[in-house]
Amino acid sequence: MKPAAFKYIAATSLAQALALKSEHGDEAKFLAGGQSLIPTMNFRLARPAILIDINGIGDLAGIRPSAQTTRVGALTRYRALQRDPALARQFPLIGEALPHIAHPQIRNRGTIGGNLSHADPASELPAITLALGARFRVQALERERWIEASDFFVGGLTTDLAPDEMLVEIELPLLLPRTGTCFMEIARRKGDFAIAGVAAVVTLDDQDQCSDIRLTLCGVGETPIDASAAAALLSGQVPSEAAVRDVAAAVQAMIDPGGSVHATPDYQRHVAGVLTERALHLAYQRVRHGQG
Amino acid sequence: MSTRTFGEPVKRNEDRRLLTGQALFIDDVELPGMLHAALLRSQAAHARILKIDVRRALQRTGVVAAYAAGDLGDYWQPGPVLVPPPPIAGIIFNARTQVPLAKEKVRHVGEPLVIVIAESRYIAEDALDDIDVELEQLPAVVDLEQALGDGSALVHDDVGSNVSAHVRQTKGHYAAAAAQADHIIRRRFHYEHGISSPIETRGVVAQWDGRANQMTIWDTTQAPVFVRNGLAGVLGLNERQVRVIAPFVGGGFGPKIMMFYPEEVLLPWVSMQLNRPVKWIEDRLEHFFATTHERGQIHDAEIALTKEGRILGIRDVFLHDGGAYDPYGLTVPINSQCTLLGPYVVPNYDSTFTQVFTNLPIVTPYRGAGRQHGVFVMERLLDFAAHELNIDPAEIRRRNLIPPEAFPYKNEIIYQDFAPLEYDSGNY
Amino acid sequence: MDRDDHDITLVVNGSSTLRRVESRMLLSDFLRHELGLAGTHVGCEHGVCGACTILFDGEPVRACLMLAVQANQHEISTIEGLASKDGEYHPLQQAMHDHHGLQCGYCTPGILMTMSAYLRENPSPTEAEVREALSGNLCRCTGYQNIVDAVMAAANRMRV
Repeated sequence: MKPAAFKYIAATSLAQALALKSEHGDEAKFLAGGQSLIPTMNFRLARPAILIDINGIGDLAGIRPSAQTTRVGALTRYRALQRDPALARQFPLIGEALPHIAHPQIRNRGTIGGNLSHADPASELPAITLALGARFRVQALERERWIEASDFFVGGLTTDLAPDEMLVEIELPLLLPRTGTCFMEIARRKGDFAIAGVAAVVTLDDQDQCSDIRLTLCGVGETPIDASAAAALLSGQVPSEAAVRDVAAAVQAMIDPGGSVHATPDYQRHVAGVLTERALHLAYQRVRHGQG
Repeated sequence: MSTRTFGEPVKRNEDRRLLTGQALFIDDVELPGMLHAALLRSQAAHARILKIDVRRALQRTGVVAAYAAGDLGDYWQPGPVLVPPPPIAGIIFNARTQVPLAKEKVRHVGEPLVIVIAESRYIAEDALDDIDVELEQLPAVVDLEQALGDGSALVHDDVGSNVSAHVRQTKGHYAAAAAQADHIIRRRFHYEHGISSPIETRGVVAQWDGRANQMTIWDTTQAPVFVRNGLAGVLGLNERQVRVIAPFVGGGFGPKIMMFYPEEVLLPWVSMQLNRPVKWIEDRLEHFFATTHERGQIHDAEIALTKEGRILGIRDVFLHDGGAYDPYGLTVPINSQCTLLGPYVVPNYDSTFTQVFTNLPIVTPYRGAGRQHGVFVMERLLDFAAHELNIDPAEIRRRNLIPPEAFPYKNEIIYQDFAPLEYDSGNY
Repeated sequence: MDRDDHDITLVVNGSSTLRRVESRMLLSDFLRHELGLAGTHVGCEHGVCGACTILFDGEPVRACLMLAVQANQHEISTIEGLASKDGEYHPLQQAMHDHHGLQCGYCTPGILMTMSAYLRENPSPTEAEVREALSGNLCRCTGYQNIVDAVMAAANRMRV
């Protein structure tokens, strides 16, 4: 399983990388971590004529906290995300999801930008960024724009990126005070693609009632699913078992999982409901016990 | 007499080379002037071959040769039947063995059509895209029961059916036993098709030395002597001219004991044609259909019992998925048939199996070689019996174990060693 | 298309080397066939089995998921560099031998490289943590228990 031939260019600057992508469009691919790209090239499912290695562009990596947000460079590796103490404190949702991503060796190379740009339907980070209300900064040679996470993932393995664009930065708004989070996933084995995953972000008012809930799922659709509307059932309430069960039922009704060799759609739907209940309860308890 | 091994923990001798990365595995063999092979494999499970055109591949820089079945001339022949059928009365066995490169028809996904030889594996894989192949797809035979039904496509047209083998063996008289039974349980059991997946895939390196008239072959085989003997024969050499080296192997598990795989037969011939060493290393994608498979049975089993849970008899009718060819004879299903009896007294047994040709890769022994299928059926039947008769599952087995005074215990039916199945000793 | 060749300089097991490679050559093939370091094994060529794990600037990565050209100006450590120059085993190698942590040995170099880096950063792991760290290396022979035992034993010895 050897890749087809290509021309390799190690970009030394973002401008150079973008210029090359502008020139070659879909014939060129960016090489970041390579943990998804190289396997597809080894299978010859992907045959880019040009490979633009962006690993040498140091500015593209880094975790930059500020008062209202944390900005994460697209080239930041999962491993760096796992090890950053401020990120772990401020965004425990990310820390909770990272151990589910593949295996340690993959996490040493894979990048958050590569993961999001690849937009695998079973991938955790798209659902996480959606739950966190993230924005993505995207650059082409002569333009820049911001895309909300909710607009970025348009289909299975498909994003809103134009052929000449690169995702360069992810902006995460800090969580509101009194917010608890939880990420849960079921896979056949640790590190396998998710059969279903749920991210819950629960904010409480000073009466411990839910004032804001974000709920997203991965692995049960072509894109990450925003099920926050279903979770709105809990607004203004202390979440009871019955109410949370209703949310889970609403989530099950709104998703249309495609099934796979590992799970039937019915199983995915069932598990999505179970994880929704558990994640909501746990996120709530975490605020109560001081996570937020 | 001193003890060197009894009662002493013994460390392995081979570890140093393995722990330091110095052990020779097949892909570690590097020879001057070595060329690399890749095989164009059928993407269709069942198809007629209309056209194979390698001309464009031959024009690619770095490609040295490309061969299809017709290029092999008299060298092309089906492989040997490795295990002939045992002498069982009424047996049906239709021998159809695998070929080095498909001719006229392909019978499973992955069956090789062309072998390309190039300066590197990278270039050889590039050249696969250059080959023009036209296949006329035929319906694929995959379902075991449909395969035996009227109107099914035939894997081997000249057999007239998809029956690779049919065997019935009996002991005592089941029908009479069932008539006496207090309780009969009938179940259908599916045992799924699978593969062994060693971390190291297969590989062959062949080095023909035209001046010395010597053939050296490195092969991920569990049976180097047999492979040597067989290849010497087909290559027209005597055994002393052929050396087959089994290097360190990264997991054999049974499929690497299958002999005269297409690649084993092709690589030495290619080396002789080109007078250069040639290497083929199976990649993981190929492994799923180029190396043999196992399992795949459907049992309709019936057990007749007294109300105390004593087995009066068992009747089992099963289908075994043999894949597209049957070089291993009946080894796997015979093992299932015989091992089903287990350590229990089964006074009456009526077992019938049909080994079915399907458009899937060949099935050969893998870890257990069919015995586990028989064990699965027996043990599940006993579990159901325990549940339905309200007997403890361990107790129901204890009641049926062959007692020590009954050894040597004759189970009568013919086993894969061609002799009636007899347990020589035991105390369960 | 003409071959896309590049000159690369890299340090492998402490020695600097300069080579010219085609851009599509995988790092696994480069190490094994260009440098003759065949101890790094190939099991899947798509990053799931771990047999090809080496250290890239000290971190375990899949050699089959990197191109040789990406190793330019970087440091690689392979199994051939794990034992000392006079052949004395790394504690992990000794422990794997003592605890029968290998049978066919094909997955072993990948496991040794992964765990040597892991223990350097996590000198006192629990058994559960060791299993987690091993999760990216498949073994079809041993059933893993003896490998876990070997890693725990090596960790013990290395802490002394």
